[in-house]
Amino acid sequence: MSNQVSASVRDRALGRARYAADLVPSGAAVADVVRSPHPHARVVAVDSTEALQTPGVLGVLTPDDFAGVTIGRLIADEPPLASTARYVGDGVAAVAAVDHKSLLAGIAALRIEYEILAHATTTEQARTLSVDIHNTAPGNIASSFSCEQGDWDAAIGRVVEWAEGTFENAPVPHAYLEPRATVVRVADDHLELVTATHFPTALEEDYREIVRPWGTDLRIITPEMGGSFGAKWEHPTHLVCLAFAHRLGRDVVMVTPRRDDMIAGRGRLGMKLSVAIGADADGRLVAKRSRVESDNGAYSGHGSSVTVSAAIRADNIYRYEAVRASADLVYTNTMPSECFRGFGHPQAVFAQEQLIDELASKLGLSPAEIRRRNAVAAGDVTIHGWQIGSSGLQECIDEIETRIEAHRAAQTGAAQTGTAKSNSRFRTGYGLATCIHSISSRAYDPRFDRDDVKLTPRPDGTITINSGEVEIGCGANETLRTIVAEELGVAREILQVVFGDTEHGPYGLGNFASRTTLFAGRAAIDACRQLRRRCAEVAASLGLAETSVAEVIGAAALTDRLNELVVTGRFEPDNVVLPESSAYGNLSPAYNFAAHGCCVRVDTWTGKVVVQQYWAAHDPGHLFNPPGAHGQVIGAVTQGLGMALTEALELDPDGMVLNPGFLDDRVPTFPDAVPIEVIFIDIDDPAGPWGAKTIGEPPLIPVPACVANAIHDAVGVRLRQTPMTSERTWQALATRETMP
Amino acid sequence: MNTPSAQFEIVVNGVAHHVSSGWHSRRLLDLLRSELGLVGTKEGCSEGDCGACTVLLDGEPVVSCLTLCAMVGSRTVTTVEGLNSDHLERFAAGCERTGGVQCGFCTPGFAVMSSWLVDGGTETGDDSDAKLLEGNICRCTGYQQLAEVISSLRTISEDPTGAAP
Amino acid sequence: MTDAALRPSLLPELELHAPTSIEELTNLVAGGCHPIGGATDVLLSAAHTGNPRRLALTAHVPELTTFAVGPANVTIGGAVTLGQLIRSADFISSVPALAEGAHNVGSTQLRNSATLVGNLCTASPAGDTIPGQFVQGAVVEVAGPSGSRRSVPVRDFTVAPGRTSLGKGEVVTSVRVERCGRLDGSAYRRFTERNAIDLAFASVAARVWLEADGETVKDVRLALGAVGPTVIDASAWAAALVGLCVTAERLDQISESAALGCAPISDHRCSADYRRQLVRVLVAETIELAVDRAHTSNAAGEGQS
Repeated sequence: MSNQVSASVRDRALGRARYAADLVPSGAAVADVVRSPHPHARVVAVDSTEALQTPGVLGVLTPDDFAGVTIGRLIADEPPLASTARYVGDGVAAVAAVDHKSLLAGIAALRIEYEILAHATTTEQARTLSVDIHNTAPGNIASSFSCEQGDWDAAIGRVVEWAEGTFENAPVPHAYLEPRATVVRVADDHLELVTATHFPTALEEDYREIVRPWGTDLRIITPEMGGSFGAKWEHPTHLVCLAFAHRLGRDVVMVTPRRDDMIAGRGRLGMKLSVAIGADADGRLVAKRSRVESDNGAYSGHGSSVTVSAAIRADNIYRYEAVRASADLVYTNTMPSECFRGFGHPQAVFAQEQLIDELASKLGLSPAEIRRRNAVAAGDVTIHGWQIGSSGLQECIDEIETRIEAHRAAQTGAAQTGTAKSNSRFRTGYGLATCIHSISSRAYDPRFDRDDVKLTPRPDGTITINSGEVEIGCGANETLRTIVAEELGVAREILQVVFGDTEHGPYGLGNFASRTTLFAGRAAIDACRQLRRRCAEVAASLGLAETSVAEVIGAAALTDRLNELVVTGRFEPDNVVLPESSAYGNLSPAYNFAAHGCCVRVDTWTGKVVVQQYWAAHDPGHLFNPPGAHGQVIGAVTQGLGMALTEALELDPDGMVLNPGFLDDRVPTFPDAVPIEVIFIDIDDPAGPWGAKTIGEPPLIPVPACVANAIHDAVGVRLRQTPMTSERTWQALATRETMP
Repeated sequence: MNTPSAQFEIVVNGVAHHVSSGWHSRRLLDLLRSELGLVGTKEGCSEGDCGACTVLLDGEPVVSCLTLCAMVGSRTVTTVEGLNSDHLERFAAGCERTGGVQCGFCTPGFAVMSSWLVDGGTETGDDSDAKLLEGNICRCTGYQQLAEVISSLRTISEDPTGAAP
Repeated sequence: MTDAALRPSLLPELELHAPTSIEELTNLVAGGCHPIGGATDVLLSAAHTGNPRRLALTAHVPELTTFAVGPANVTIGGAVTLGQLIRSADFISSVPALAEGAHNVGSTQLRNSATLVGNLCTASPAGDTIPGQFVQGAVVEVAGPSGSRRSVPVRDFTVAPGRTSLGKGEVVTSVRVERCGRLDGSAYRRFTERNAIDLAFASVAARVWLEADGETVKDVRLALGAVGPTVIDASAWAAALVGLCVTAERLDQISESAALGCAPISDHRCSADYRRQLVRVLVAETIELAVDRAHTSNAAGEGQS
């Protein structure tokens, strides 16, 4: 199998990008997972006799075929096929067949006997009922975290005003456009797994341990990823396809139908946060207490790390003197959760930024002023030990404040001249919210945080850029080609990027935390500098005068010396540390900041909130791909508005997903798009490649909080639960009006 | 379908294909992707809600995931692979300029719709682009850039000299 | 005991017929085939539940392709798509409430496949074209096996969620609606959480006839969607307007009657209370819009009755 060259933006626009489901070998067997209809049930027996006799059925896998195997990088708790189904949709068997007709017949012919177990579909039930979802987790607590930083008693002694509240965020499906798809090809001495994932290197490490005992080996090939936003990592379907391919000696494909992918998919962790923030008489935020309870669903994914992030990350943006945080990740008999753009932080910011508005109001400060007064700055070490190398936060806040004031003045002017129909039904309000983001996390892999990029000049004069990272649609392809073209002085057209091919690719920790631009970018610069040195050496030994990289590659090709020009660059930051168990420590080489603002109009009769204008100010440092960066912000804000207003995974009391499709999982559509202005503050970070800090996740993080603050400004009610649906807003207004 | 002939003809991107009558009762999307190898058309939701599988039937957009081959009848099918190449190149250039593509999975559907819109596609004659594109979900871009691309393509098509920016 | 497993959401193998006459179609339907126009609902059902699997296309039956805007009525054949309807300026001006309903179904692409009769026969209480059919006085033309024919007023056609009064082997050949005439306007409004690809939490169609003075209400029809097991004919609650001018107070009164009189359920989309509130808001807005259109139709001298 040749390399899977990453598609450029142009290729994608032309419809030429190839995703896993586009790469199905002819004659491949089709496979599907057989899913439990019960939220919690022990699989007593799977009788596959009749299924195996069904014409066209090639094989059946049961939990016994994977005895002792579990996946999950942080908590390995998910079996490829479950001997105890832990949510509606959990895979309890799998069937492979020659076509879909036989596949459906085979699945219908399976006899599965269950012992129904009591279930818990909420964290409250999981804590209180006598339901044991994983035998290894007493009280159904998957993980716990707590920390205290600073001198709590001294800090609270200075507090003059507290704001506190409990906030809830519904789980949200990632709702990527490309349903989960896996192709496995049978090669001579190994299996080729073709699937979209954020971390091909980790997939190889983990799955190799599983397939080697089968007497085979593994290569991961990363096709294009049709959206993920944090959903596509390891997955049981990968192992089911690998096992079928190995057993049948035949290529296998599994494309999960959308509806099934949303029943048995992944979603943002539902969370409940109880937070209290205290300020002193000068409006300084001195103390913060957080208690987080995350709904893990049936399996953990990155839930434990997401939950810690929700407990502490938001603390780092203000100069708190003391914080206390605790968090539990709780198993429930529902769809497994996973990290999702923002990594728990949007949930925490939803709580923090609303409480800060409340404090501002109590202290007579404007929302912008209280944030400016408390913002961390370059050179600060935050309460959790983060070393801030650069910050554009003050500038971001200023930019947003200016725009809000100008917009408000224009609106008021229009109202005063009588052009705006003045009535009590529609009310307008403005909101402001901020966020910090850690680019990468040293805590992610205890061994290191590192990226390598390999450059391979080819005889035809082109250069292949191999990265262990992946293109998730954020423009990593364009960014790496821009860096290499500039650093080497070559044309972009001669550069091709291959992501995540474990046969050729160097090490990449994986695409998370919006770290690819910084990490792969720095590694690419290192590789380019090595290549220039090698070029100079080859040129000198060939007796060439001062010459270009392209010319040296041409000369080296003719003299069979290209292999001397193959280089691997590396970036491993020297200023990060593995955080302590309290999560204290500088876990990232750089941090980015944002402030957002919006204007909403609330229909007090229906509760419908319409965002009339949105502003997003960010400090991403150098922009390698300005249209791409701009697009990241617009897209992330739009996703954030979906989380804020309309999106949620809805379950019935027995854990069945009620909205498994785009009709009822209300991601924003074209007519829902709102005007969004993007503002980039030009501040470079010392750690970044050419000063760049990246952009991917931050523009989603403040959105729900920003909208909530605007709703409060408009109608005086606090929405403490996402999504802030029309009905919830209407209810909040109705409740307030009936209060004495 | 109860037709005796073993094959029927379906015209896709200007080429007549003769396919077995078994395809009558199967989805156009499957015919395009697995029989004809036209994998530019994507299957996003299988329920007609996302628009990634949009194709044109005699120039009008439909979702190929809810279109059985028999329903095509004598109409010609146009997929992203069969769009006017000048138009497609302009669409791609617009996406590069504005950041109108991220993961790219919904993009072929938008490319097909953009071609229909620029060729004067409408319903009531009074619809906004946003309304006409309500059936194409993009989870990545937030739509603003795609709106910009389509409006710039319209400017170009109304000014065939290409003098407009 | 439930099934051993969730059914994968894959389309089963289908048996497809393409009849070319009503007789052939009704015989197939009598034999257990499901008639399909755009099949946009039926194929979802087939993928989700495995049924129906035996289908009969309506598109090749010539009678079902009729679409005619006549002097007093509009006839919409069973195979006519929503896209065909809303591309007709005559249709939009003749039956505004129905046109607005048709324009709200699905998406541009789906409307090019989906039919008005399909939307009616799916019989969802939230079906966007059904309230408009109520106020435009729709009569459903039905053909049965052995050549039987009957006409059913739309309010007697939908009987429960997903159920119609069609008998065994019967199919809808067309729907006939009245055009709006002079001093006669209609409108359809709905509330959705999202601006597209969404089902109405509540919807309202209204039609208002004005006296020659252009102010006094001569007659009124009102239909409510998504707040009962079928679309509800709420004309009786609106009758309080007849003989009077439309005022905010009178609209409030009617809205309140409709909100209290309808029979919404609570489900995962929203609560019954919220649906009643939406009815309160939408009824007044929709009647006002219909009155505006009745005025305009007088000024423009459009339509004839």
